[in-house]
Amino acid sequence: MNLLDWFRDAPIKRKLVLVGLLMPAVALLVVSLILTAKDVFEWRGRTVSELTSYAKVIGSNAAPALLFDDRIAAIETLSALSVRPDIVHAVIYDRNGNVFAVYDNRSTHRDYSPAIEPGEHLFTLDYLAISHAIHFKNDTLGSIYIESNLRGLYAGILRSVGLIFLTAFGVFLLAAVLFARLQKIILAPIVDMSGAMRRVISEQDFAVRVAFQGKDEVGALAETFNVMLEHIHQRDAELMEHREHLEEQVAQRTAGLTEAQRIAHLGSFDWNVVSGALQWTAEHFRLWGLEPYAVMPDYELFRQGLHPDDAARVEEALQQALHGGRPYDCEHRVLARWQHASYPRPRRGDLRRCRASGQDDRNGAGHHRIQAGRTGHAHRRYRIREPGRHHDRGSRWPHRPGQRRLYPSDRLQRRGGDRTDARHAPVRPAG
Amino acid sequence: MSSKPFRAAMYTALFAVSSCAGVQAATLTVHEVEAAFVHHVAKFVEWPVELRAGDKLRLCVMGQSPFAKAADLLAGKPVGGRIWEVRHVDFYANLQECRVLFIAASESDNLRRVLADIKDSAILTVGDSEGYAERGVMVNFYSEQNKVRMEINADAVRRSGLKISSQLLKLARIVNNPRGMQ
Repeated sequence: MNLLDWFRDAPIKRKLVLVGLLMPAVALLVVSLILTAKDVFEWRGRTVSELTSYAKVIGSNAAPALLFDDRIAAIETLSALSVRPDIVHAVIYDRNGNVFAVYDNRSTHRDYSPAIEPGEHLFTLDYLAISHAIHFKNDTLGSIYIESNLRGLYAGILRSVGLIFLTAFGVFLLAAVLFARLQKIILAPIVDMSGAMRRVISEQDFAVRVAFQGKDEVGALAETFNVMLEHIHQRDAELMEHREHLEEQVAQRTAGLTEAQRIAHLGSFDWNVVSGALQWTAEHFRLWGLEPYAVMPDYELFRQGLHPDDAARVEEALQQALHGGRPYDCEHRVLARWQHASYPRPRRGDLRRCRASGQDDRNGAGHHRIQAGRTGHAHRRYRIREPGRHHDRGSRWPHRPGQRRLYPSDRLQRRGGDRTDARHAPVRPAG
Repeated sequence: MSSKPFRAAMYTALFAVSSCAGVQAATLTVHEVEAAFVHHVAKFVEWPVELRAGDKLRLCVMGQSPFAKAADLLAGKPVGGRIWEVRHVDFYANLQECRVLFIAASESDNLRRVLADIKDSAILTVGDSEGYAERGVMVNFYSEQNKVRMEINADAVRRSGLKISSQLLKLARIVNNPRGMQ
């Protein structure tokens, strides 16, 4: 199980090596072992049959000696066995099992000879003994026992097995060389592809392409991968283009909005009541008589800009917007205490009439945000007279349909007329 | 080493003489061994085709010898598909029916004439007297170290038209000087 897991997780190269080399190795080993076993059996059989032939020939030659009771002749016959140094011991027995003649060539003398019946043989680790009956003209005269050491057998087996394993090793080497050549064909595209994928992930480079050769599955995979990358690359490029375009658009829109606000003397703010983050537009800063973005706007700054008489009402309206669920809609005056370059020189304590509306945007996180709070432009009733810029006759600064017109600025403007003779308009209570 | 099985073997069918001669002296007489040897020698001898007919192999014993009694033991025994038939003959007998002729020491004086009579016949001549082989007898038994041995006059065999197996020649002393033959 662990081995299977290991194999599954192993790099594909290792898998290939395992499959490509281990399998032939195992096959060759099995074949070699089978051939070895076959060889061992064949050599055994051959040795037995050789020794049996010797026994037959020697027995046949010794038959007359047995008949005529000629031990010397029998011993001479046996001495022919000296051509085979492996044969270390031979005995001719007469028909009663008594020793008739002995041949001994063994260095280590063993007193006993294994009792085996004629026609049988005995294999041990260090000797082979066979016994064969001596016949003459249908008459059994005795038997011959021959014992051979197994040096020749072992040497033969060793040679044969050595040849088998040498051949197997040679074949394995050949297979390994072939495999080393061929595995690259399989492996290289996969490794390439793997590297390309890593590069795509690490460098986000979708321009990477895999060079694919061949029309097999890996080739098809590489092709598909390339096509996929191509698609991603295209989409990425489109996305990038869109984003750049969008940024441009946003910049344009923002610039347009800022410009529109500047022209309309319309500021807006965005207040996150939870975090306290307050964002004013440039025009809002100007309405408050401040250099745009010169200071960080906060609630205190907002409050400081309110006319003291209106502050409580504004705060109440805000509270109601926050907690009462009513839209923020409030008129108040702004006390612009600071001069601003973009405005005609205001007087100290210049009053601006503002109307602010907005809505509470509660998102899921419970943030209270007054958004798009449109602080009405400064109804600088007696001061701002910029024809064509804003407050044309009949045009009101934005109000909701059906809402009562609160500040007939045209009237005021007509009535005022003199920029230098600015007076504060009386504050009308809202609603 | 018991000798009884040997004697039993000897007298049943097989005429084996594979026991020691030293023991044989007490149990088997030299002539009995010689009779067994004749039996075995016959197995290594090939007669001409025309003489192989019949199911009897006649052994003729010429002269007075204890061998004659031992030879009687062979009668009726199978040998190479035939059976022994023993005849006791004298100098004047017709020897042409004999396949094996044993010439006893008593016939030493007549040996030359006997051999001359059967010169052209394929008759295996056997003796157990010293000098017989040199005088032309094909197979002659002698004693050596208490054992019965044989000598073979190869020339005499060759002339007779008989064939003796080389295996037998290997065991025997070969005599190539037939002084008895002119």
